Amino acid sequence: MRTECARAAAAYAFALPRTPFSGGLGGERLGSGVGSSLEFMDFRDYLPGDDLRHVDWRTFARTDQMKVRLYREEVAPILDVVVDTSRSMAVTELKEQAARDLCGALDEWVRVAAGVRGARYWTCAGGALEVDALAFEDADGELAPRVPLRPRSLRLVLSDFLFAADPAPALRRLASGSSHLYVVQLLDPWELDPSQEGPRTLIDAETGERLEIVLDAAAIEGYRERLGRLRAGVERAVRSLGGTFASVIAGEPAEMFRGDLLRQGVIEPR
Amino acid sequence: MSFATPLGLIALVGIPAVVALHLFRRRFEQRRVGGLFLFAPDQLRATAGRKRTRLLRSASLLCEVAAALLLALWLGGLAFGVSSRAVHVVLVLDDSVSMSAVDEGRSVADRVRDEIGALIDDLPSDAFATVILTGARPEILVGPRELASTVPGAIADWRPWRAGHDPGSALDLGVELAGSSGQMWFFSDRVQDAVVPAAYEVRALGVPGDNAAILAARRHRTKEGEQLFADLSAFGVGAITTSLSVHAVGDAEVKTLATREITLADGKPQHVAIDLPKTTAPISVQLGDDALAVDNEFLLFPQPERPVAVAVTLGERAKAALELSRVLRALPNVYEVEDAEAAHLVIGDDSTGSRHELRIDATAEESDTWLGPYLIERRDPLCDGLTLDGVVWSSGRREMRGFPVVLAGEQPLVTRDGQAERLRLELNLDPLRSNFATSPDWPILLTNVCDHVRSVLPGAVEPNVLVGGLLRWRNERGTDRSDLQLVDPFGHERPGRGLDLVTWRARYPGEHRLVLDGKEHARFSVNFADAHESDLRDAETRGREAEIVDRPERIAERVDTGRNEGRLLGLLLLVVVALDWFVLRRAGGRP
Repeated sequence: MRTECARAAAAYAFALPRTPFSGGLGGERLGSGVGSSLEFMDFRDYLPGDDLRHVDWRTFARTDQMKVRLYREEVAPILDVVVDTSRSMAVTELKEQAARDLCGALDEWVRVAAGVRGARYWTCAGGALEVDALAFEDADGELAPRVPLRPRSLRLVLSDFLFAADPAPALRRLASGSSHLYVVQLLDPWELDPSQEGPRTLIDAETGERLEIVLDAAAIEGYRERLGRLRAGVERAVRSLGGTFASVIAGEPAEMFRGDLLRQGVIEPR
Repeated sequence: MSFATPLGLIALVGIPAVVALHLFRRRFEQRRVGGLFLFAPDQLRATAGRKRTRLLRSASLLCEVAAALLLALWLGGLAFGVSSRAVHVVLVLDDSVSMSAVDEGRSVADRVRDEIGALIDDLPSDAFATVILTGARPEILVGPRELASTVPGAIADWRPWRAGHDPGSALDLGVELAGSSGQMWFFSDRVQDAVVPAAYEVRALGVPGDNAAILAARRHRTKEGEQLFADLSAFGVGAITTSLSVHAVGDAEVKTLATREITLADGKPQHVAIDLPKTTAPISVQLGDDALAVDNEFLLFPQPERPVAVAVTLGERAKAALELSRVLRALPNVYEVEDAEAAHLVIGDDSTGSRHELRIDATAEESDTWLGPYLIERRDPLCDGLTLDGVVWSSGRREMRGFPVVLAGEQPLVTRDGQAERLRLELNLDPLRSNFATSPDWPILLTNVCDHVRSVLPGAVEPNVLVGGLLRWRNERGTDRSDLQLVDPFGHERPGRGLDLVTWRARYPGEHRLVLDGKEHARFSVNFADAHESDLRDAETRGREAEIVDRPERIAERVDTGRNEGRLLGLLLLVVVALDWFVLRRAGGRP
């Protein structure tokens, strides 16, 4: 990780969901399930085999019914990070560097976040990913990895979502069985706000498809409208799944971190 | 300005070519994007191979179209205002042989080429020119109204070849072609004030000099060998002493037959007769070198014998009365045959259906005897030399077929029917009651008939001709020799005119060959002889301006105006090209 990125990332930590969540190994965070913490959660009828230490004897004395006290579990969240390693993520050097910075910073944030047992990184193609050896060479726009992610894990998706298919099904697959879904959309400044450059041959970074077009006001207006619909569609799908959506514009690390990532609660000040 | 100029038209093609290039070979600056489908998704399609795309009005396209248009205007010769008329110059070249006279290693024709080259260089690029060669029938060498820049190339191979002639018809043609706006120059080796009207501008580039010439030469067979007769003349300030040599030009070697020093008095023809040994080789008669080489040599091929076979079908009494056997023996290259089928000429008293017939018959109910005077058609070559003096002519009183060539009163005595290819001459003559056979007119008439028959025999008619004359080849009847080619001394081939009698106009002196399918059939010698052209004493280097037509200054003014516009267009063209280069450079080579 670059020095300036590390310096900027040091001010933040990964923000776990405020609500209890399930999953993970035994840890420091209260989970949504039954566990062995000191925090009372509920009563239930005694079943043979229950720990007699958890029988509420006072209730038995009053009602002659054996009730067992249930306590919240304590979990250590696990994080699965799915990184879109398609070529579109490296369509410009700025965007590629921003993707590397985000992955590196995420690794740091997870490390310092309370109770998180660490993160695993996956490529869209399903392979394990080394953060230090990121390579954006995939041509496949499929977002959900083909290997099963860990149950009840926190899941964070980093992608530009610049593919023609509807992202909602992929996001549903990612959210299925997860504790919480974070979606970070990374865009290059030119992708967000292209300039009027006149006649150009546009080449798709993933398919190699070409389009000769005049980048004039009308063409850019149409592009912006379609991009806006795409971003709104992604955000709507994430919200409907109860996830967190943040849109990041590639740039200097400090600029990126204090933007939508902070506002939407993906990270929090340390 | 005119887009009729080929270069202007070619340059105009550049405009659609530029548009096509932009349609089919457009290369925009490339940009990699992550979401191509967000840009005009309806336009996405496969881009393999060339295809037409929407024409974009890019700066590069506009610059290149403007450059092509400016180039077309430049080459088309754009001019504004009065000067918008394209300059048209008419150059009339004297095509007479005296233009080949050499002085200090350069001929008059060479000097004319230099002069015309300088003249063309001074004209605007869109100027037109017409080049006319003088002659009895003027020949347009360039044009009418061709681009002036094509003239130097067209006259590079020009070789003056004609004998003396009046340039008037060429000058008249030049005036017609020049019209009211053109300028005409007449290039010659002398101004010829008396011949060339004052309305024409003349550039005389000749150099006066002494010259000796062969005016005529012929070979004559004798019993012992041959005799050469030559007419020589000198055209100089005084008498000219030169050498005369005669050579037999064999296929393998040239053998000198006679050489002598000869002094020719000024302007007076001198006849020379030289006895030569018998030879079948061509004979070359040569004078010593002087200014005009072409009149210093005569090449003479031996005359082909072309014997004429004659069959006589007359009765014995008539044949004896006409002394036919004796007369036929006396005629050169004429022999008598028995078989009428094998004869070229049949002499009889009735029609035999032969190709050439001489019918002698006076059969009629009544007869007349004529003492003269006789009316003779002198224009007919068959009557050449006939006088019929003292001839008593007995004829039958009857109708005769054909055109009368000899009449007595209203009675035709000799008629001619048929064309040259099939002669039918009829004599209304009773040889037994006439003294015609004992007069000199009878062998003369027979000679004329045999000469006519000989002239239509297959083969070369005359091997030695003068420049401007006709080379003639007579085909066998029924044979197709349309592919006959005459090869001139420079190796150029040209087909002849005619079917049975094929002719070529003799243009250049020297040996000519007649070939068919690569095989040589005959040789001709073309010699030059014209005392007027050989006389170089009045040749001069002088210019004479025209009295009526445009002054050269006006031409120069037009030229300058055209040049200014050409400079302006050239400058604009450079600016547009530089702008295009700048635009492309900024765009990284893409429009």
